[in-house]
Amino acid sequence: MKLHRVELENWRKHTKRRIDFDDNATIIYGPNETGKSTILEALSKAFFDRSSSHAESIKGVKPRTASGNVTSSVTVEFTLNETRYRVEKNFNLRRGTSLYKVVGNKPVLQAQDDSADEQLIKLLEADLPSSRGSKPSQWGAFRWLWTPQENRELPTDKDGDPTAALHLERGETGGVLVTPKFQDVQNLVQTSCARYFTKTGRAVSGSPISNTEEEIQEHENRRTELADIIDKVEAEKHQLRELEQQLPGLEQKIAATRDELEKAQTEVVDLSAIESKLEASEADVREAKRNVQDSEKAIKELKNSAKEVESLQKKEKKARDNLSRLEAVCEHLEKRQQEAKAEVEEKAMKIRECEELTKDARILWTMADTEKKIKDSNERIRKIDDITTKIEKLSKEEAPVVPTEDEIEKLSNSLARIEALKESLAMRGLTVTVTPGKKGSLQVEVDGKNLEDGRLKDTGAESVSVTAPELGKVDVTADIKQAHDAKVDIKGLQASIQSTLKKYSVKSIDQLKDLSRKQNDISKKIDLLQAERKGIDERTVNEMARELKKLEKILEECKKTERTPNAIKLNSLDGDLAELMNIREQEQEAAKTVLDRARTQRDEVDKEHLEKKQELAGIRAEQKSCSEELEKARAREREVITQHGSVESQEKNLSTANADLTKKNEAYKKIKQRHDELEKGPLNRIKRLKKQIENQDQVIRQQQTSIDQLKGGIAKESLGGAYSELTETESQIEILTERLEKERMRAESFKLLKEALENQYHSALSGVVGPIKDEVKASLSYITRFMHEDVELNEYLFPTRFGERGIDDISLEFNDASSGLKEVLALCVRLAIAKHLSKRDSQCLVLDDPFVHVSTDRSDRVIEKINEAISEHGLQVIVFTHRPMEFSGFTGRMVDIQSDK
Amino acid sequence: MKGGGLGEAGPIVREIRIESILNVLKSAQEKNADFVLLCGDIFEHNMVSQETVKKVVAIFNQYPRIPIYLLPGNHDILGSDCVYNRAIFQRLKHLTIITTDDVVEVVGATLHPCPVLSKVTAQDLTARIPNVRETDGIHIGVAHGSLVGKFPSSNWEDTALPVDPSCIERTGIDYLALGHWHSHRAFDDDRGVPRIAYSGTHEQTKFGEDDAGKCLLVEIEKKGDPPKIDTITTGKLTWTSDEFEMKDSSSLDELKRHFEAIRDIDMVRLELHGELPLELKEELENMLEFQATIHKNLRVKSESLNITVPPELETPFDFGDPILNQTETYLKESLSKETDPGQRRIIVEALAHLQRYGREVGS
Repeated sequence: MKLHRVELENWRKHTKRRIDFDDNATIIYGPNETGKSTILEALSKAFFDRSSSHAESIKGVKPRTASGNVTSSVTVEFTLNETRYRVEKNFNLRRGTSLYKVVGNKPVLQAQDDSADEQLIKLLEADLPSSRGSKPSQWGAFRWLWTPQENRELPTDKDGDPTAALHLERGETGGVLVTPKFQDVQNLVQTSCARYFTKTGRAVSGSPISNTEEEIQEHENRRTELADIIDKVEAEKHQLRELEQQLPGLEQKIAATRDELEKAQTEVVDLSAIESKLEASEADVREAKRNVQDSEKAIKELKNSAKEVESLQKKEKKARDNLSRLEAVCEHLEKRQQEAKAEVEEKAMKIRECEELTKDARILWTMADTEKKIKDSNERIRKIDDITTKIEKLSKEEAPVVPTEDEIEKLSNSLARIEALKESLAMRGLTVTVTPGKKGSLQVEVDGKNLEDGRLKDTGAESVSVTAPELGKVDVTADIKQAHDAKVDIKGLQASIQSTLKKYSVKSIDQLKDLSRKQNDISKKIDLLQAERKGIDERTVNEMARELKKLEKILEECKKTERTPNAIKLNSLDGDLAELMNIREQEQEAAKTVLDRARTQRDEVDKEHLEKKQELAGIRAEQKSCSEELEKARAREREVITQHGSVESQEKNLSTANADLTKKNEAYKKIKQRHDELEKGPLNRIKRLKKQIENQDQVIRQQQTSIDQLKGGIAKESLGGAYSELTETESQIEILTERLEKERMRAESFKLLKEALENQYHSALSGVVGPIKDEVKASLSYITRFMHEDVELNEYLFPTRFGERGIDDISLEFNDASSGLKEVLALCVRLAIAKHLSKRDSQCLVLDDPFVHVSTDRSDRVIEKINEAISEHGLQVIVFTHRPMEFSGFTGRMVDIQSDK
Repeated sequence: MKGGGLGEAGPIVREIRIESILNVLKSAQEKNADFVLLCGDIFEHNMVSQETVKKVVAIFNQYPRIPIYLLPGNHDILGSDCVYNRAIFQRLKHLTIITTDDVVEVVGATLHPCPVLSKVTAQDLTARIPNVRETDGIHIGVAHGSLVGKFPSSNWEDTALPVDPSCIERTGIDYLALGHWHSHRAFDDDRGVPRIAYSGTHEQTKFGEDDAGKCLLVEIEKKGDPPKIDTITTGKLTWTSDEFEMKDSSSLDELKRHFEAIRDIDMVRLELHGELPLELKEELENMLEFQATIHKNLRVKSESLNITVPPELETPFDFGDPILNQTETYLKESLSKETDPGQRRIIVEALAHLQRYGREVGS
């Protein structure tokens, strides 16, 4: 197909637009949102959609500025299979299609509306669209050749078989690869195969095979059950036979036992006499036993009471021993108690002595110390009095007021200031003295002479002419204020000075300074004296006097205290009384310690003594109690002896009783033996035989019951007809197994056939796709500069894998490729297809922004390839782009969408 | 008789086997027999369904005037579960179930039964038959077992119930009626007179049983006379078992003719050998499918039949589609290389499907 022109009216942004296409290449460019893709949209709608469509995509083509519905129309002129056509399609408001053949320059109407739509679709070898609008999958070969934005991706295997759309013919023999016959046969085979297998080759549940297998399994299970029933019956029959075989034997045995019983019952023996003897012997034996027991009991009692007496005697002796021991201990403790008491008294005496001496030493020391203190105190008082006198004297010399250093300095400064002011006044050359007069008048003195002046204002520099007697008229220009101020200042300062001097009753600053100096000296002296006084004692004299009185009182008291002779003797007045006092105090402490120790010992002895006394009391009580018990035990012993006699006599009795018992036992045994012999005879035998018959009868009954049960069970099972059912079941299994075998073979044959068909198809397809694949490989190699030299296309012409230089096999999947490479791959495939289809008719490749991700170097080579296809295969290319410079390599027409130039 | 190996025909055979008992009784009536002697294994097992028993009893009831003496065999063996213990048999007045070796007086003769009490015994079953040479009257022995040394012992069952072949000479009985073997057999005494006979089953039970489906009419005039033994066919079904060699395309016609010849046979077993070209496989299958509708049972074994492909693969079947043609070529090549019989059959099936679908779609 070659597109010649397209005209749009009321189509989105295009109110009225015509574009003429170049036979080779047309580049339609413009910025974004200028309606480039709309052109392609219009072309596709013109070709593939019905004008009567109500699809949203159709409704959406009306201009946004249009109010209400409008007619959007598109007209395309094109050549297909060397015939020129024109199609005019109106959508939305006035719908309709007109298909013309253009003969010469004259359009000849071929069909209209639906008929025209259908004819056009047929010409294009596309599929009729649904009412929801056409989809690229219905565009036939145009699906690969035209790439609107919604169809940028290459079709994959999910989008249908391209062999028909792309006329993929068999290379050598010609003809379409996939014929309807093949498809029909394949469908039949797949349908047959689907009865047995899923698409992944697994067995289908519910298939004839699985159903038959299940049925067989059910029958197998039932067969097993029936066989088990039959086996069980056989086993029971075997058991029954055994039981029936045993039964006669058992019956024989019981009969024999009955005979024996009958025989035994004829033997009867009278045992009454021997039984009487046996009873009497038993009584004798019992009596003999009682005698033995009595003797034993008596002996036991005698021994027990003797033992008890002995035990109590021991106990009582032990108590007495303890008592003696404790009494000795207590006596010893009493002695110790006395000793401890004596020692405590002795130590206490020692303490008293020490206290006496210590007290005496303390008094002596106190007296000496007090005397010293009194002396010191008097001395201090005296000194303090002296100092006080001096201070008083000096205080009298003190001036009531004393100038401070600041004042003196201030005065000095004032003087200096005055001098400075004077000097400043003097530096004017004349000694001018300006004194403010009344109400602003000035008294001017020039060199000591007063001058008359006018009234001046006291406002800054003024000039006044005055007549100086010697000088004549003198213009005095002065900073009246300054001079005034200076004067005022001087006066003020002088007044201040005077005031201060007056304050301190001096006439000069020097006198003031002297005054200050003197006063300072006096103050210093007073301070020194006060410090000295403080150093002697900080307290007042009264306080010191009070203290002195106290000391004197203490001394008096000490003197009054009489010394003991012992103290007089032992406490020496020579030496250091303080040392003596320490010694005595230490002695006293030591004596106290010793006393405390003695007291502690005494207390311990007392405590121990008390404990032992308590223990002694306990032992005494115990001993008393033992004695009483012993007495009682002795009394009981006497009773027992009275009752039973001595142990020896009882032992004799016991010996006699034992002998008697032995004798009587022997007699009894003899009688018993005789009795048993008689008893074990027929009576015992009869009993035994009866028991035996009873047991045998029970066994026979049990056996019979088992036999009956088995017979019943076997009969019942027999009626069940398990064998008949088993036979039927086995027949069924046989039938089903044959059927299963057949089905399996059938399934395998269908599977084999399906696989064979698929393999042959793919093989054939590969042969057809081969040339296109080679074409794609060549383009890809060139464009990528041999970076990617190999590519695999599937039967849907989709590039599944590609190779990379340096990697031996085709190992990269399509999705591994970068966006740019994917675009290049897609372009190579489209170009290859276009070339392939160009064998039938010239083709039109429409690309919408094909180099979104492709780098310039590669896009240049793509353009080279396209140009090659244009020149060698008559390909027509239409490109929509916003980067026209990329496509400057094309030889064709450039259309600016905005200006349509 | 289980009717094993008959597939879907098994139930049919079992049913007919019961029905053909009627023929025995009918023949007895027609021939004015004094009594009917059944020598065991009327039922395959004691645990047969009551329905089956009822059918047999119903048949017996149709001829109430003919006394029937029945000796159980090793399948319907005497014992606690013996099928003949069922109450339904007690109501048949003309039926005598022989359970002991006590002699049974019948019309014109004395029966000496040898009941089978155990499935296996080493003792001659006829050992207890007394010497009756000096006893008047016709004496007939009745037993169920194998005449020792007269049959090949293919399994233990065949020799588990021994019958002394010199019983006649030993006891002087006039005739020994035997059951156990399915085919009719008669044996001579030491004087060359046939006095021992197996009637065989009254209805053939499987392929390979020759001379079955019969009963015997035995006439003995008086003591010592040679018995006159006539065979009467009672079996309803006809059987045939054949082998057929396929050689080429003409073999099919030959087979067709063979089927024509055996058109009336009920139970047909056919074993096919040889080779058959692939393109004739379908025709053969169609023929067999058709024949299966004619006979009561058609069992065809074709494991030994080799389906072949023509050596000239350049002229394959033309489907009018290249891929289909290539597929056929591929399958034929696979077939020519395949040696496993199972796989070969699968490939052949696949080829057959392909051709069939190719024709169906083309039409």
